[in-house]
Amino acid sequence: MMKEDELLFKLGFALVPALLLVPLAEGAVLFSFVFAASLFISQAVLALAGKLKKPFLKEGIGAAGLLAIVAGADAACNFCLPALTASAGIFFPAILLNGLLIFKNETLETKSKIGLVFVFALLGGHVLLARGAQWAGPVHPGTVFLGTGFFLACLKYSLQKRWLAL
Amino acid sequence: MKELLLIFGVAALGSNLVFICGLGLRYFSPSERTPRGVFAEAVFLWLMIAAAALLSAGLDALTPAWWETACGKTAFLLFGSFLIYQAGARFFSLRRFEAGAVLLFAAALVAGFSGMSFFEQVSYGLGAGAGAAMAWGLMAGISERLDFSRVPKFLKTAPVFFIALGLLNLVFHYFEGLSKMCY
Repeated sequence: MMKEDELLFKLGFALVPALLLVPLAEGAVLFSFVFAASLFISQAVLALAGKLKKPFLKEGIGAAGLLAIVAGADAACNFCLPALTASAGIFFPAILLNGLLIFKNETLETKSKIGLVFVFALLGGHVLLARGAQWAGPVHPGTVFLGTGFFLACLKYSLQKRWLAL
Repeated sequence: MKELLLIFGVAALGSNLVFICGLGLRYFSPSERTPRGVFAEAVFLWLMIAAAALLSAGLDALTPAWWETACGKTAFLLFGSFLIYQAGARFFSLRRFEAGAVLLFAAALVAGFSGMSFFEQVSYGLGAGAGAAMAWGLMAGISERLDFSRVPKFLKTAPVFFIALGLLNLVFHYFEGLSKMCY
């Protein structure tokens, strides 16, 4: 499997739960900004942990750092933006951890590009979901999978034509 | 007993965490796709989710006042997910997409929050684990079939995989309706 395909899989695996489990557009806005910030903080923490020699210590500190970032982000959002955190749903820390773990081993350059794509795709997806809900009631989860598949197809086509580069 | 079985069935099929919530999605690469390997990983995942649900239900029964506070719940779930992540990464190739730990996290979350009795929570956890294991088996089968199917170049690998999962999700929608009727 090529590197681009692997990135597309990772993007889909991070995007689908975020679209399915964040219930409102306000929650999506909060989640996308917290996700982008956490991605860069986690890069710094993992880079520091990567300098350690002992593998168990390196893994342990890296994972503990990720958990601290998620717990900290959850607590900070609960404290500062309780209404928005409530609109993000009870799965907020789980989805955040999911995204951070999925992109853990990527470089800073890839993270910055894929983070941007993720944020725009999430916000655009939520706008479409809200539109769909206005027309025909709650949108079925299967539609989210199908929509993600077609979005990834467009992205892959753009990558093949060299309109974009990851 | 009948009710516990019903909860098991609803957790495995009706509210399948993989297809309904999209957590724990996984692509099996050709080298990981041996029947024995997939079966072993699925059983391991089931056991881990059952263990997480048992732990969550036990804590819920023993320390309800502490469990009710938001900080306690989050701290426990994060700690549990850390342990499960370490255990899973040591034994299997969960490191590849890091999906297993988050699925277990969600299972513990759901099992701990739903306000069920101890046995109901354990039954729910066992069902969620069985559903996740079944979903992994299905995803391995789908990726095997998709590798040999002829699709346009821009749909190869990830896009067609998600489209196939979307169609599979519609199948699970049937079970969702059925479980609403039963439970």
